[in-house]
Amino acid sequence: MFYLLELNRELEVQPRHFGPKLAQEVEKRLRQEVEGTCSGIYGFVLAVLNLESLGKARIREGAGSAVFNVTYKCITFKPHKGEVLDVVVTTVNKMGFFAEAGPLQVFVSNHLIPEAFEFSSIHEPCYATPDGEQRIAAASDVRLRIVGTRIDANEIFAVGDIKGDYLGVLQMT
Amino acid sequence: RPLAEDREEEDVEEEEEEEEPEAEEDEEDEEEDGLGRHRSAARKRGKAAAFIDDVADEDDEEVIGAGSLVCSVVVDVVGGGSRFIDDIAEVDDDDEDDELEEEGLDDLIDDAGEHVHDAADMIAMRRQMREAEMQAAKDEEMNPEELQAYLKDRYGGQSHYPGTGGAGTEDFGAVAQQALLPKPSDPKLWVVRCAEGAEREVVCYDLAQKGRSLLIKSAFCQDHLKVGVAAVRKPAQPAISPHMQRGYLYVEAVKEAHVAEAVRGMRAVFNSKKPRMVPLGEMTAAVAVQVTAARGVDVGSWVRAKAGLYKGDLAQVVDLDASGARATLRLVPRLDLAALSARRPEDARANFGRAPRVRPAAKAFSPDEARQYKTLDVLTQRDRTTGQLVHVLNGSQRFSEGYLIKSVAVKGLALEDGLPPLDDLQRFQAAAQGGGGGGAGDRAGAADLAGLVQSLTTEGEGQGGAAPTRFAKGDLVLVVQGDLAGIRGRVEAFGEDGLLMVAPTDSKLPGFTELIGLHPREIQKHFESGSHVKVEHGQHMGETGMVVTVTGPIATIFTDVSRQEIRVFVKDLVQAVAVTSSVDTIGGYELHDLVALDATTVGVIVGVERDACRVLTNQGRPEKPDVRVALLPDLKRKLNNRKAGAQDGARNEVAVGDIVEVVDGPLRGKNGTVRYVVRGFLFLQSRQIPDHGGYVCVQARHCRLLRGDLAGRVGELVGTDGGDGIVKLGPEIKIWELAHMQRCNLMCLPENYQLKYYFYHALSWPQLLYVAEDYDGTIVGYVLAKIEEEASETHGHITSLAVARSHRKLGLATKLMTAAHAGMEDTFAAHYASLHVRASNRGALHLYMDTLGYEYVALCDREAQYYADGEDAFDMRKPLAGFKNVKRGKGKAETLPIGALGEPMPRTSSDAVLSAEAGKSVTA
Repeated sequence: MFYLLELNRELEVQPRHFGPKLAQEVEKRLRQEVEGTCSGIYGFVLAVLNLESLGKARIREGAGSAVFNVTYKCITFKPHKGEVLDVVVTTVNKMGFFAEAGPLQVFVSNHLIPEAFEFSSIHEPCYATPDGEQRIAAASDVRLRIVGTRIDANEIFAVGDIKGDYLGVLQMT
Repeated sequence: RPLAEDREEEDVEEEEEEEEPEAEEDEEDEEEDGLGRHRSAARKRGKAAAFIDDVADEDDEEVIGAGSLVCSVVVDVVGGGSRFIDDIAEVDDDDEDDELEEEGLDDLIDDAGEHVHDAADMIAMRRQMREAEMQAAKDEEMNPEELQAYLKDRYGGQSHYPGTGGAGTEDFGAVAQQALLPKPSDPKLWVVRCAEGAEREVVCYDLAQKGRSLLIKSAFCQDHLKVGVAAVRKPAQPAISPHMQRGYLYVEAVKEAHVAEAVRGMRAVFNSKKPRMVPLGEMTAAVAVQVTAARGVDVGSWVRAKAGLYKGDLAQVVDLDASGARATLRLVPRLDLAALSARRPEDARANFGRAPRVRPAAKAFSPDEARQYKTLDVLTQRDRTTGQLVHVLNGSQRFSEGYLIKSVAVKGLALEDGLPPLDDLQRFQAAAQGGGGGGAGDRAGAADLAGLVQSLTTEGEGQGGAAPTRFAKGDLVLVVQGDLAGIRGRVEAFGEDGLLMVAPTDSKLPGFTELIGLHPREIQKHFESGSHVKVEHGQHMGETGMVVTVTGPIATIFTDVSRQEIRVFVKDLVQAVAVTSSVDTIGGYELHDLVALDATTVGVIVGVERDACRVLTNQGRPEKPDVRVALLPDLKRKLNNRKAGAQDGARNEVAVGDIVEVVDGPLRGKNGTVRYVVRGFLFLQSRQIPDHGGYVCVQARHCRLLRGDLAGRVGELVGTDGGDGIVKLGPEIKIWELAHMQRCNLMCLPENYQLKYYFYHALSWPQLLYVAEDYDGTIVGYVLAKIEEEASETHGHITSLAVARSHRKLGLATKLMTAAHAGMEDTFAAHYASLHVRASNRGALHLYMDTLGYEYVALCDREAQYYADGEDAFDMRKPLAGFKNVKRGKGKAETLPIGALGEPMPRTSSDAVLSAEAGKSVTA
């Protein structure tokens, strides 16, 4: 699920940036430090929308650098159990397949793939129905339901399920 | 008794002890007569009691009794030479105190529960005994009353002996036990370090025969405190203090000084180490004797061999001999048929009894395979009793259904705690399926896994509750037996009779909130798909992962670290909150460590098994990775070269943590994070690579660094594309390096500055100060720049730029200048950068005009006296980005005057040398 959040963060800026371009520097640093990261609480930070406030910086004694407490608005993405997601398959093996939904990696075990699908590694590893109508291979689009997530300090990993109504390979029309 | 006995001997002795009850009974009669009192007590109490004995009238064999586990001395506090040596065998800590006290009071009332005397009998007997005791203790300094008083004083006021207690000694409640625990006012226990193996000597001979009155209360050592014993302790047992190791003895005393006094001068005691006090809470643990649970090995039990070729292998007991000392096992054979057939009789004699150097893999026995070796003799018989086909190899080893049938001593076996882990069982089962060509084996082969588990579960229960599922409060459970089968619930409490109080959470029972008491047998743990669990038992112990599915008693789990699916028993799982960061260790190595295998081979550990690990080395190719199985000795050392670097295809410096894309070879297009850099190889971790935990080894030159638009930016400029130098940022320059800069300047340029001038720049505009370092830190180039703030437009000025002659044509000057420009622009918002250059310095002019985009502004001719030697200087400027419309200086000129470049200026002394030799000297 996507969230629009207002977060804050402490940024340390070295004195060499103290000049007319300080604000730009802070924003640049914020984007560099925050975008693309993942936290267990908020999920993946996809994009910083804008800097709400720069706050008053404090000079760190001895080092001379300034610490800003920056408040910013950002879009985050955090998967939840039970959520239905569209993903792109990245690798397929006999255990199941891995897929990605943006920064999130999802694993679908072959226990959670409908029995109608059979694994085959003849041409390229894939799961396919015997009639060949449906086929899950690398780069396929799949709709799945998340059955569990593992949230680490800087990574989120999910296990998905495509046994269910309206789940499975997305047919491109 | 030898001091260096091993555990197995202890086991044997315990067994011997247990066979003594008849003897005890006989001796009891004697005791009631009041004769041979002490001696009989030594035997009788050997099993469950402590006793106090006089050394005076007993000989030495009493002192160290057979089967004793704890050896201790109680030292008289009052008397001069009277010592009591007591000898305790298999005593529970809780009982010890009471028993000492009990004996002190009436000396050896028989054990509770063995005999029931009526009160009159008891009183008569006690009187009798008292008289006998008076007689025996005539020549002692302390009469029994005194002793009684002393012991009573020492061990508190509890009276548990049958004469007055009436209820009997065994009736200790938990509360009474609590009262026996040491209090802060009691004497403390001190740990004294002594020579390993000399603990008994110290306690029994040295302390006991010191011949002086000591102020300590008692001293003892514990035999079972051997290296390794503490480690194999089961988690359910109390935490044992770290003192519990070999080479320690315990002394009970009020003050540390008393302990020091008592052990002073003893040979084996290390006086350099001060006695340490055992914390109050650990005192009982210190005196506890480890009771080895002698659970019986039975037919059908699962066991593991403790030593030898089959050490650690799972085996099933198929038969026990009458005495129970030898068991016939069924195990998966480890045969090296080739070696067997090649072995000559004389070799057999030479290597008799030795295990083969290389342990053959466990594999089912196949008679057909064995027959392929001409020298091997395979006989097929039918067992008379069971009617099964049995193959006999070389007349010695018997095989049935692919298993090796072997008779071994029971004491060489370790009983498996409950049902073995699923993977071991599967391997055991697979052997029968694989090698079951012998006819009867097919039956086993047909059994599917679920059936196997079902049968094993029932078998396990048949063995007397050997399937120990441990439930904890809050566990989700599924009822599998009885009327409520299929209902889910949560364990809320533990009721009486081992029942678990379960609160149903199932939607099938809406509104039902009462707790249901269920037997552990009726329920099993339940995990939803997607829940995060940890394996508590078996080969995968410690791994965490996410539950994929649960089918009956088996759960499929996708593990966090190795990213594989494993199958484990549901009962072995617990809900886990955290990911175990690295449960996989072998020796001091962890999963994903970089290790050296030999002089040229390094690799990353990509898998850890029980005693081996898989290492992805740098010797393979991306299409055929070289993964070796390495044992602990093969791992030479751990490498930790976080600072190592390599160059990618575009000669960019690649370091650990960078993200690179593979641009060449079969992995083209994949990208990953650099985890290790070794000798031009990168170990990448990529989520696009499914094998080996995403690790792959590629050559650095087949990769390209992905770092966005970092070129020319301040701060990220560290690292050059030239390779030989590293450009270092101003604030990072150490103060002494200014002197090195000065030296560099002196070597390169005719115009030199005092050191204070470098300080001035470094302190005023550290953002504009950059140096180029050689690999060893030598400064080989620098740029010194400043900001002209007084001018109408803020602009930067390059004071001095130099690159050592040995490091030219590497792009260092460009890099240094770019960095300085970036600093001027980013930090000071400078509109332009200016500099002066000698008119004759063609190399520098090329750099400034052609490479860096400086434009000629004015000529400072001889009259301006810019250079001390009178040479002309060009004033040049470069507009900085964002401030394109630079106001040019007074002598504005679009193009350079031809004369300036075309005709070489008349050279003067120092410059002539420089230019002639270097030609490319970069000076400003």
